[in-house]
Amino acid sequence: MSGHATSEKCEPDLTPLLDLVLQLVMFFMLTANFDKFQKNAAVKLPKAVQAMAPDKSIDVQLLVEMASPQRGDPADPARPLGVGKWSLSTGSGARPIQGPTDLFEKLKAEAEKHGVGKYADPNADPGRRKTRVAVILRVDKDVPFRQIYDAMLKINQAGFEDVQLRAIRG
Amino acid sequence: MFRRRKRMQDNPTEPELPITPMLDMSFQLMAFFILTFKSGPTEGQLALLLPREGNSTPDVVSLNPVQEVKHVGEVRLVGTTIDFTLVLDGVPPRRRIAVSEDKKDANGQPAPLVSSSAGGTLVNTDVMVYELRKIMDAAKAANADLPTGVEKLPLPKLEFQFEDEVRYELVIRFVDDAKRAGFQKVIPMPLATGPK
Repeated sequence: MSGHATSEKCEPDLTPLLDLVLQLVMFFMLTANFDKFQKNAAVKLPKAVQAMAPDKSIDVQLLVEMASPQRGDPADPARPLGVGKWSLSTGSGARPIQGPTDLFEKLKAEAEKHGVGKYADPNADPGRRKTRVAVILRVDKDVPFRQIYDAMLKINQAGFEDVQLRAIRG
Repeated sequence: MFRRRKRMQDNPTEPELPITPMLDMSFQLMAFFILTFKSGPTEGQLALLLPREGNSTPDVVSLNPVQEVKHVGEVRLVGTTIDFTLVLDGVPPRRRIAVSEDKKDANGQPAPLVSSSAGGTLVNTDVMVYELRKIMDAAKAANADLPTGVEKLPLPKLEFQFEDEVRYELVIRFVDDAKRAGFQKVIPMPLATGPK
């Protein structure tokens, strides 16, 4: 009997197992949704039925996140009482924002970098499609309107007009 | 005993692995997990017009002070302005909604979009959506009646006025409702501090 075992290899049939594994891989690949930003999990978004899938025509996204004042860190001296943490992500990581003035300064720098609004290159070819830069607001559902309004004014002053509000679809 | 030895001699290197029941079970498991799989919440986006500094847009007819609204649930249409008092979540906070528009009459004055006065009881945002949709439909119908070649009138914008402490959840709810009513241009503004 041992003579038989050495003469030929013994292999289990892997095909059905691979079939199954590939099915699973396909399923998880199709259901995965990727976002290029590392999103702040502390921001609990509100729901909106009319929220559309993120616009593919936006070339540059500037993500402004405003965390809940309740869920923020009250021991943090960098922000006043009752104001949640703000941050700005430009794809290369999130930077903390110290308030409306700081938001204005950082967004203005981005506007200059991408040539938004009044910073647009006057010598640019008019036939060429302009780079679409949008500010995406991810705001916690408990943030009071005044803070959002202050942030919006600064976004407007920095030269941006394209603003999208993030919400959970459904 | 004899049969077994016979078969091993016929085909000595083929072990019989009963893979069919395992596959049956695996498919059952896979079906179960696929059917019970719930993907994480997908985020969507709502486009918004940024507010300007100051209290209100120039083309909004002055608002009736909220204090003059005698009954909770009153709807007023005054020129291009709707004054709503909403009852939300059981508490009666007072919110005002102003409808502004780019439409101008022959004298360059903002033309009233809703000329007839209308009234109704507004107890929830569905009624507001209904009222807003009527306005939007009227604007679209007016555009559809224009002869071909005539430039279409811009569709009305909607301005919400929120109190400072209104939570973002409610802001989004109003923006959502406005979009539901067909308004694509929505501007959030702080509550105008008009004459009391």
